[in-house]
Amino acid sequence: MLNRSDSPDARRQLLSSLMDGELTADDAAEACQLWRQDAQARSDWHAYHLIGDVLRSDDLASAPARDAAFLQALRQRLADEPVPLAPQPALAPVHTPLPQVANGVVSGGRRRARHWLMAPAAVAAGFMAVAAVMVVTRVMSPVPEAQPVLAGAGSLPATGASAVPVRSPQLDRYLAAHRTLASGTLPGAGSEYRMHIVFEGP
Amino acid sequence: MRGVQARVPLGRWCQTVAAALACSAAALAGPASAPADAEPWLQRIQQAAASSSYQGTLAFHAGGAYSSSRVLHYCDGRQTYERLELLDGENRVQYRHNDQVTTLWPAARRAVVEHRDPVAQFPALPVATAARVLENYDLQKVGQDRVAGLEADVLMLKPRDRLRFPQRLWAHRESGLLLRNDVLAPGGEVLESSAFVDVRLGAKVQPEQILKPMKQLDGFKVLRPQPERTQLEAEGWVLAKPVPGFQLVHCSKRPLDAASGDNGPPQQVVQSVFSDGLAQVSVFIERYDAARHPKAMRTSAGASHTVMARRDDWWLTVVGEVPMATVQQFVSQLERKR
Repeated sequence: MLNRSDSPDARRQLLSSLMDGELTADDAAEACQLWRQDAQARSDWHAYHLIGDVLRSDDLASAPARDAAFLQALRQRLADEPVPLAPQPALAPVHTPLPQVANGVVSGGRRRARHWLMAPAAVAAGFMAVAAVMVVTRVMSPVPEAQPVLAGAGSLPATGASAVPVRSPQLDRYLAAHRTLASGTLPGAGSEYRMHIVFEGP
Repeated sequence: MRGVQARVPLGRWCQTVAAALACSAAALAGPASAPADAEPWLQRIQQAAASSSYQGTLAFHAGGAYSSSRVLHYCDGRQTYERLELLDGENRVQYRHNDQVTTLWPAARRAVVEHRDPVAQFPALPVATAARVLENYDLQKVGQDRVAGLEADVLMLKPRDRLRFPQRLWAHRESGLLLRNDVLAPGGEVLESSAFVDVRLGAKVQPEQILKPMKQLDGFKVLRPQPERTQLEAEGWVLAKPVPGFQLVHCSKRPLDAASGDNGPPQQVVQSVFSDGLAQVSVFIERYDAARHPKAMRTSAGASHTVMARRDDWWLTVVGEVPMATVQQFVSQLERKR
């Protein structure tokens, strides 16, 4: 089966060749299988792409933990929804037409390789769109979901039995007094729209 | 046009780079102390906020509320002049000359004149030594970015314990001026953010532009709240055990909401502000009043967490841009001494 993925070097070579579009359809399928089964292979694959991204543009550089968090969330969603992730041309700031990538398998040789290089940019753009939505909803989300934790930082405290959003002019007055003295901000702006999340229970 | 990188075997290249990175990471893993240049980063930000002149538009968002203001900040070396105008909701303009602050509500013809010395005001960090910030946070430069059209260095401040939130700072590469400040949840999501949308450095202003409107208050109902400096002990209270990393930086007796003015006698509170060098917590203490004080509760809005609780004849409100557990620690350590 995975005859070429016995040694770590051979595995990396396989992934590297996949990235360069140098594999035959069979080999590509094998590499993808490896990617699915082996956490180290996924980690290497991610590292190669991150390096590729950085080489292309500083803007694509990002903290690995964030990528991992996105991937984790995305994987969760994909598990529920068995539709292959196909990069949408409209989301991608690229000029070349994108290849149809099904389950990450790319067949074909060097001519395709160029397109494959562009694919991560499109996927990244997709992540961005997802990220934007997630940020917006989480700001209003009463109970923050469990997050991959940054080193050294703890999780949010237990939030009790339930949490409800309310508007409270009384609370706003304390918050404004605190802000004025502690942060020097001009209090009150937008406070009529501010939602306080009230935690109930012990 | 054909992409020039098409023939570069990127995968192989990345494999090599990854191997090289792994080696250097192993070499760097030895001394795990804070980088030696952490302190100068913070000092530079402080220096830039204290001595530079700038004008621009500030945006703030937290807990689903957005607001923006136009700021003009002029510093001639010794004197600081500032004009801050709220761009959302009721029109409000604030003029500041050093610690003299005049806030005008032009439509309501109301003015509040006061001495004010905020602990921190964006783009300044709290008045604390950089060393103190670094006792509670670990600073790392994480990258470069562009904010409000300017090149910025991105700094990450990771807390050394669970009592505070991580913060991300964007400092102008040339001047060190803070261009953006995010308070993050432990998982990395943005809880609140203050940022310049546009900014121009080196703004020239005639001091009279600020001083004149501060004096011309004809036709305005002028309120002059007189906060009274005090100490927690003098008010009969004490923090049984200090909350790690936080120091008392301000304590005064003041009306809670000087600006409202017309709802009978102002609600007097004792406000103590504690700071860990980056995050602030206010402790409000006042007489319990059944009509005014709702039931005890815990709330959050953006990065701000609040606990309100009754303690015998007193009403305690603790609010700060810190995790709920930290706020609760303040509440539980607060003791009546007499």
